[in-house]
Amino acid sequence: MDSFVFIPVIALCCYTFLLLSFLAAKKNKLINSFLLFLSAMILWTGGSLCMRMQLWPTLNFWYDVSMLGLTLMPIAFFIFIVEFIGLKDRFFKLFYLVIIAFVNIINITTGFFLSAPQALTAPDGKASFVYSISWPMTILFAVCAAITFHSLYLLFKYSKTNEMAKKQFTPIVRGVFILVIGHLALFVPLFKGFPTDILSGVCFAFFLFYALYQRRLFKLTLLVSRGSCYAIAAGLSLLLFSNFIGLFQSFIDNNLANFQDHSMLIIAVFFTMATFLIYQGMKKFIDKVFIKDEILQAENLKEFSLTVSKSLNVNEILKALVDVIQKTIAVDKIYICIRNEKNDSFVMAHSTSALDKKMVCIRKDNPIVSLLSNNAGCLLMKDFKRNVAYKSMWEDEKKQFSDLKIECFVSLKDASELVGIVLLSGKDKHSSFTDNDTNFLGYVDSIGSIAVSNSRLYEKAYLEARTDELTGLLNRKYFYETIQYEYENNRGQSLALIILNIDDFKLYNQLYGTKEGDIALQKISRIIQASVGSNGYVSRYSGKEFAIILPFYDLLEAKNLAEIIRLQISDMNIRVAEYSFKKLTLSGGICSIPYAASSVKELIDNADRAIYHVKRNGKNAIMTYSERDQNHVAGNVTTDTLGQKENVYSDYETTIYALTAAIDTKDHYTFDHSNNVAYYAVELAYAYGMNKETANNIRESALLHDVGKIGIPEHIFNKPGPLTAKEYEIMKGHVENSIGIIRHLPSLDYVIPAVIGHHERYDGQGYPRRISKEDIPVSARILCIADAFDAMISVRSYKKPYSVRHSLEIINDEAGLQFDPILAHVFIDAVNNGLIKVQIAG
Amino acid sequence: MLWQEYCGFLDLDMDSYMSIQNRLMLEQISLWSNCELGKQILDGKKPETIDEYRKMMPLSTYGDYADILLQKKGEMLPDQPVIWIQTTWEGGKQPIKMAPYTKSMLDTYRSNMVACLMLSTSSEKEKFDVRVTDKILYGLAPLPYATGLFPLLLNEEIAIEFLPPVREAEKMSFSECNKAGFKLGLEKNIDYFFGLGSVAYFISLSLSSMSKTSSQSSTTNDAKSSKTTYSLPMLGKLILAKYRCKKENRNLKPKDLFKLKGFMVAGTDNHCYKDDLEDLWGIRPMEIFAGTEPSCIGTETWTRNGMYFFPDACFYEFIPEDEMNRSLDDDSYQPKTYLMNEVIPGEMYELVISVLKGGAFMRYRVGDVYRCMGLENDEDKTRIPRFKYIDRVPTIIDIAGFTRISERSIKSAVDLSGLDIQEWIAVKEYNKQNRPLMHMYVEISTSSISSCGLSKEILKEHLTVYFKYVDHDYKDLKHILGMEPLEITILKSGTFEEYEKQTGRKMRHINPSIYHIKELLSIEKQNFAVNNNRRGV
Repeated sequence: MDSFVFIPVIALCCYTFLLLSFLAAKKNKLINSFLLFLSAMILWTGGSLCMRMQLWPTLNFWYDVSMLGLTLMPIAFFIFIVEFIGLKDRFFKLFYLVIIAFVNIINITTGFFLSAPQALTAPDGKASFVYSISWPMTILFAVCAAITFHSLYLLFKYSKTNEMAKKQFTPIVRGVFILVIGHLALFVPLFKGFPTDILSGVCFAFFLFYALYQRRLFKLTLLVSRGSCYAIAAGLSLLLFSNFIGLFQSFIDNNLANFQDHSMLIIAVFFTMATFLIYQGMKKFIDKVFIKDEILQAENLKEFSLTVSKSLNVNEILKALVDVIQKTIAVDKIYICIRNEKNDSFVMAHSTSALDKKMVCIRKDNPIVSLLSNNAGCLLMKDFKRNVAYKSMWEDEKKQFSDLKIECFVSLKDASELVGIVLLSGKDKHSSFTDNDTNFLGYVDSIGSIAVSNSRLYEKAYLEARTDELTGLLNRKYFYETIQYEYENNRGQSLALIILNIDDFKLYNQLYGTKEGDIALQKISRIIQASVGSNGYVSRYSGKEFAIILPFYDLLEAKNLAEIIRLQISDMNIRVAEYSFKKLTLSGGICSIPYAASSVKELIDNADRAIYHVKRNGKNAIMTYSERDQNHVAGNVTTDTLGQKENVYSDYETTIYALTAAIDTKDHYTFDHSNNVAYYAVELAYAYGMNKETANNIRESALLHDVGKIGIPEHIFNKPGPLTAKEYEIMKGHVENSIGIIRHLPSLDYVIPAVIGHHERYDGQGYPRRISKEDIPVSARILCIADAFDAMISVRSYKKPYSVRHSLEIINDEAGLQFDPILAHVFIDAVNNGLIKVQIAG
Repeated sequence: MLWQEYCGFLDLDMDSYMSIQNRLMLEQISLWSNCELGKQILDGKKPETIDEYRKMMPLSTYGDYADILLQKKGEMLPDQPVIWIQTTWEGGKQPIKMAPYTKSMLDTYRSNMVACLMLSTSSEKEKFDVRVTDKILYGLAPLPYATGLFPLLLNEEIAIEFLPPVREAEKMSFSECNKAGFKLGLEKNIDYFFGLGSVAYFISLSLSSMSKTSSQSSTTNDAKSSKTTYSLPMLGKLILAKYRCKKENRNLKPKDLFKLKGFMVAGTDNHCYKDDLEDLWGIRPMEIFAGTEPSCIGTETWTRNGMYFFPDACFYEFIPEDEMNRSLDDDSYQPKTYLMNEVIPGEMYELVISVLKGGAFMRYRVGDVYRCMGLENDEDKTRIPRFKYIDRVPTIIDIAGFTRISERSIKSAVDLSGLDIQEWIAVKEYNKQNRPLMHMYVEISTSSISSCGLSKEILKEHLTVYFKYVDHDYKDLKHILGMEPLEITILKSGTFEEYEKQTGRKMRHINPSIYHIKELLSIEKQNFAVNNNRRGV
């Protein structure tokens, strides 16, 4: 037996190790019962070992300790089983405890059942122990056997009704089987002297341990700590030390006589090193066998949190999230749905494969949303199905999840607000999600949530900073950055710029209100964006101007693109059937590096200049800027657009005459005045160098410019002497009245800019809008001079006519104040040169 | 965990209950208004919200669906039906009603039935005892009736053994089925019993005689029933029980032999039988609320004190009693309805359902009347309204859950009988033993009084024969339950006329108000006090 003394020592070490480890684990009734069981084993094995070694205090004491352990074992096993099954059996627990306590007390005091053995020392110094076996011993064994059988019966009964439990019980039953075999083997001569019972006891304890492990009642990382590795290493070293120290000493004495003096030191160093190696070996072994997964998990998590902390790009973070989950848990598919700000539903934003359908959408009232909002971490599909809230799932929603084979949901939260849902499909090989997995997903959730919400916030701010709120296009600031960037990066390559300016947009706003104006801007930006696509950048350059940056485009390509856009926009409002919205037109200027500009500033300036020429020439056209034409026509108006405009104007002549006739019936003076103003204005336009078409436009504006006077009461209209402030206000209203009449004739709206602006002053003191200088349409500025001149030289009820000379002097004095200085001088010169003949009212 | 899955709805508060109802109703509205049936009824309109829908859609009865459902036009429905369930329509134009069941309706039905099964075994919250090895004695009709779905669905979820096995039961007559069930029960034990209250009572009473015959036949080696073998414990129980009965000088009761884990009853008039059934089986039956059109919609709990509606079977609306009466008097009147979170304790309501999950019936008047017993219950810790089943709507007389007698069916029985009955009213009443019966007050035409033998017995016999002829279910009352539920009272000639003259109103033919009947009887006495003995009981 002595030669096998290491077996009980190892057993004792194992038990102690398990006991210490479990003391550190989270306790519950089941773990406690296992602790009790281990204590019984320690008492039994330890007691018997100490007894055999005849340690202090007495043999009898150690014998009683081992008996106590032995008798406690079945009851500890019983309690373990009761807890394992989950029964509430207090009676038998107590009953058996009382019996065992009773048996032990009797045996300790009287030795009735089995008294302590006699120690006989053989001549060779080996001790042997002789038991005096008597019949009461059978009672003792009967009691133990009864308790054990009761436990097994409970196991059997429970496993009959529960298939799942059957699997969990298998290791326990196997352990009992081995324990029985171990004890029976004591009687087999082959094993004589070999403590098979103790060995089987160790096996039994490990089987119970395995059963607990299967139930995931504890985490191995908690058990296998640095401390427990130290303990094991210390135990094993001690064992080595105690067994081999003699051999080692004699080895040094015999073979290394030189070092004899330092033998203790050598031994100490040797064993220290051995302990260290054992410790390292143990740790590696345990890491590899037990906690490999957990370490991997931790590493993946670390890597994940590092990745997401470096990025502010939502897609990158989502990708990292998908990667870390897939690396650690090995699920087939992962889908991430992110909350849509518009309707709060969750729409798929990322998935494991780019080929997945992006159709997943979870409505905001889906019960999973409120469940995940209220509970952190992850929710397994099987648990969700068991929740009452699942009852409110729609069949389509159930089908969507089942088609995607979703088995787990993970929330992504920003504070308490749910910002996303991660959907996981089943794991490989059809295994189910373990507690480890859900814990891990919980960590991923908390790291991912913060990252996702930060990056979303950042992207939102970033987007807001660079885009125009109304149209979603790039804003002016970002336009400059982009064009500079493109210029720097594509030196030597062509870079075209189109600037599109909506014609008469102010008027459009005045006609239909700014809301309609905004809608029109959005429509236009959509059309431009759709036409440009990914070939360039579209920005809202100013209130009614759009700039298109087109890298690698030459002038011709850019002009074609601009023309396509222009045509689409001129068709845009035709589709609105119920109202006759004014047709919106564009004036576009194009310039390109290196053909017509050599720097970004020049590029922009030239494109602007091209627009200016278009505007000068009647708008609604695209013009490219070219150096050579600069001093001439400065552009290249597309001929077909000009032809179109001829037709447009001639159609409205009749309407204009109808309106002027209406003025005539009310007030003949105004009729004559309008005709005179028309004459002066047209002549001034020609003198200023405008083309026939613009002059025609101005003529019509002049004919209609006072049409609003129809609405002014006659007593004010013909009042001799100055007007009161109130009357003057009413008088001023004729401008608005004119617009009010003309706006109902969308076909005539082109006259409105001139009509509405003909009382504006160049210095901004006029009415109704108090705009100044070039903000006043040129036609209005012309009209202003013509109107004033005719009024001054005419006879009115409240004044005598001024002389032409005096009138021209006033115009000269007011140049730059009331009148456009250039136009004023052109007018004065034209009158003086006889280009403009003075019309004396009749 | 299982409790939460199946019975978790009992923990809902009103808001979460309504959010399940509303959400599923929105799904149903969108499914239904897009199908042909819905387009036809709603004229192609597409309601977006539940309120909109309730305004657009009038309350419906089976007649509104008959042309589509009786021809089983599944393609016109919101979802393709998996199975069509049949039941009797009130006598008249069409003998049967058909109701479609979709896959997801069946899924809900199944999970709700499991909830019922668990609750039937429970004695407190989260305590239940359902095992795969359990046996159930099943006293309800097989397919194509709705009750036949129960074993099929339940066996998809849990392998409870039905006594007798469903396949065999389908081929047997009702009484054969019961006998076979009991015999198997004696062999294998019975853990649950599920049936109509009335039928359960009838079966239970016949047990003592049956056990007698089976024990006799085993001694006489009757070839047919010698198959009955008692398990050893059962034999012991039987001997012990017989000894006890002899000692107490009473008949053998089922509770002497079986210790039921769960006892469920369905149908009308259960309140008449519950006490007796408790005495017979030693456990109080738990009432379940199910029907062909609505499926399984409600259950009692371990308190056996009022039932709760499942939130996912139907969308429930309630017509208050006075609105119901007004609509019974005036067909064109659209009564107001209230939702589950609007009911008031103590009030009576007629139930209106919209079957969820692709069902066909929307805002459908099932014809059942419930009383709200409370909005919260401390006893079982619920926070949703609790109801008690009262009866059918007043226009229908339902006896023991077997038959639905309407004005039309009584009229045709009276006409067919050729009896010269001038006026009649029919009232559902309960006798001294608290059993339901139909009481007819008739007035014989003056021309026939002297010329024909029209005693109370003759009238009863005659009318019974014709009721059986008109209404097959009525025949089963006698056949299965041994009941003859007709009572006749002959009123003196001219009583009805006098009543109309005095009160200025006409009496409702079916279930007029009890006060009106009293008035009628007192008018009979006042004016014709001479003929005291003519009124029968």
